[in-house]
Amino acid sequence: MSAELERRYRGALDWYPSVWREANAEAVLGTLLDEAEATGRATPSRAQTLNLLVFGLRERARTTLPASVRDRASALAWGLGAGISAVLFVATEWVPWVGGNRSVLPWTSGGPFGAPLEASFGPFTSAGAVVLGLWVAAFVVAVAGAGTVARWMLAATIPASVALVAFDSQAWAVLRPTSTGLALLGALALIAMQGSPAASRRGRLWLLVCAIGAIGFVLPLAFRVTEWNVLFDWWIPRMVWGDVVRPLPYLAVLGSVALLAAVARRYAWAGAALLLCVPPALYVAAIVFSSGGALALGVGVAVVSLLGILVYRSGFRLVLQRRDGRAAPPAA
Amino acid sequence: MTTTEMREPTFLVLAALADGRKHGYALIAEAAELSDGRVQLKVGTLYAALDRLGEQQLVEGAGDEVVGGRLRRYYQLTDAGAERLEQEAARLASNAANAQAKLRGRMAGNAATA
Repeated sequence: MSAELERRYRGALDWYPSVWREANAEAVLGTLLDEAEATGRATPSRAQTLNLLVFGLRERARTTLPASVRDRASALAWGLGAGISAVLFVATEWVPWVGGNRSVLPWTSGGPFGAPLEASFGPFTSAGAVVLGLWVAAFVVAVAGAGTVARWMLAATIPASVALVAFDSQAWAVLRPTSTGLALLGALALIAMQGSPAASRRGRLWLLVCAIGAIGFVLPLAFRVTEWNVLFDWWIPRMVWGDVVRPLPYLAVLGSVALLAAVARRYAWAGAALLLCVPPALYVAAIVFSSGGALALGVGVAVVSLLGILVYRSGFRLVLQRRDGRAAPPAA
Repeated sequence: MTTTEMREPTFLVLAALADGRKHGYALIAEAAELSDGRVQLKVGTLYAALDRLGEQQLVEGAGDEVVGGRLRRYYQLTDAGAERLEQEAARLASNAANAQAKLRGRMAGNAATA
């Protein structure tokens, strides 16, 4: 067996945190080399390397944050992402809704919206319907208890969003939502995939509670009522991709949740809400830095990325204390 | 302990350990054999499953050996693991028996109408 193969496997194991590698790397390497020998493989397969990358990053997340925080953050992210997606799907993407809305008609013919809302992607206004539809479907599947399938569906939203942005300049490109909106949903998907709240009945109940809370939070951002009699019609949607992804309302609500949870000594919920603050906080930082020009934005992105990598690779470990002063046991 | 439905790779890892301790690659080979080659566990997946099963106290370490310069870590079922495997095997057998009974009923119905 070549030293080169061993070197490459050791390199792939670098995705795992150092604490884990110290305990397990030699045994895992032995298994990898046994498997390579049995199958006559001289180089690591792409699938094996990708598998080590995925589980290495997952182990890093497990090492950095306790399962109690990850599961709560995951439930919040699932709920928030599904809530945003459901509201946006109806309010901005589904043309039959908008087209049949008597309240909207005057607005769509050159009114404040500027241009009529038209279908450009099947019955939808943009290809954002794919991402939003996947989010909503993944949430339903998660609540039904198929957490693994749901996570894969959620993972699929990320390359779908990247493809929408990447192919934007192509002649055949379809209309798409804003990059910031897609980035926010992508960040929520990444956080949602870090836990497995759908594995238990109690977790699935929390998914529903978080989604209902998120819809209650997103609806006022997405719709407005101009006259009381509009209540008898459908509400008028704003140009919600812009309104819904404004970061400050999220920071205000999630920061308040974190503060209230900390005061109530619910530290796992406080940590989860703080984790959810990261995507909108990065968004605010990007706005601040970008106002200083491309150089300032570049420096800001580099500093934040460096800090993230340092924390991620440092082996930092958050340990929550139980109320009796003992460390919480690992989740089963 | 919750008795949520067990995923197939987890079931195969427990089943592979039913007749005694095994090391990493032996588990991968046994899981493939038990599933007629359908399930080819990746190494990252296997060790994540073993970590989780260890936390649930269904599996435990059973010593390390160095063979040909490579470290082999052995694992074995705990009593709780054997009990959980038995429950899951019984559940799957019951499902299979129910499905077969329904199929027999369907075939009998088809024969009667033919």
